[in-house]
Amino acid sequence: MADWKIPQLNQEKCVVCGICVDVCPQGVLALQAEEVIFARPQECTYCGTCEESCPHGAVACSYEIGWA
Amino acid sequence: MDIDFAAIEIFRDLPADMITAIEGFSQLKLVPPDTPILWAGMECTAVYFILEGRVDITRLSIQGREQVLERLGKGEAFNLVPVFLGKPLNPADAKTIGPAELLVIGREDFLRLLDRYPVLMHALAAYLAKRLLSMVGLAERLALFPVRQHLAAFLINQADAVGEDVARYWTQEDIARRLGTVRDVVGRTLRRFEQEGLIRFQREHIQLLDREKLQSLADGRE
Repeated sequence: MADWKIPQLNQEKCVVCGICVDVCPQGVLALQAEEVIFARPQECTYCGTCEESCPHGAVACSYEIGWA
Repeated sequence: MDIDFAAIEIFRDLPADMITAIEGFSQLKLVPPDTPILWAGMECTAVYFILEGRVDITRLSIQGREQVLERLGKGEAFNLVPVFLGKPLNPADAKTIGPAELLVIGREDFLRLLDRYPVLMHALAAYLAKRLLSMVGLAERLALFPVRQHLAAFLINQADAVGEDVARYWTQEDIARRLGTVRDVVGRTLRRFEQEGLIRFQREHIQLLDREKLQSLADGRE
């Protein structure tokens, strides 16, 4: 199990449009066998670009809120 | 059953004999993540107490927008209000976030316990009063606060509650449902807060940097 957090991908909402794959600045996501996968999860910086770009709300980053 | 009744706010200060009686009417229920527990408008058959895990209390508009009324954690209770209504219908939907362990007492049994133990009725009244105040605060924020103000208040409340076993992780969609808005607006507002130096994104953490300015924003002074 990876000790870094990656965004959650809801396969039921995902229509495999590939937008998140295109916009990810680190190339973490990939299309494989008609599915979006985290091909290089260790490269994910949790920037939230995939979540913001998904038109179907299929990607979600969760955050813990606290004082610095 | 080995139930930690002291973990439940309403039962915390009750004497042992009363706890034994309550235990006799209680059932334990383990609920998987993202599982609906209650639907608004259905008949109220039981009250629920959270021993472990978290539960979202929500209402759905006709347009399909979901409003999170409360995100409850360990020690909290829900579906208490319809117990006292002539036509007992669940007022809201309830759904687990992660895995949850609930203590369930049937409506009729709960009413019998309240009849038998005035101390329990007092504890329940105090708890309901606290929750009502929280709902009044939410109604005020939804009706009167712009998103920036509402979001600042939400962030402060969450950050101050760390360690109190409240819901810890929030997605932007969750926050939007809590604030009665949409994800894009929450995302844009958080980014603006970041540009203004009020918060910082650090991987899965949103760190609040400037209490004074955030509080000023939450109070509507900015």
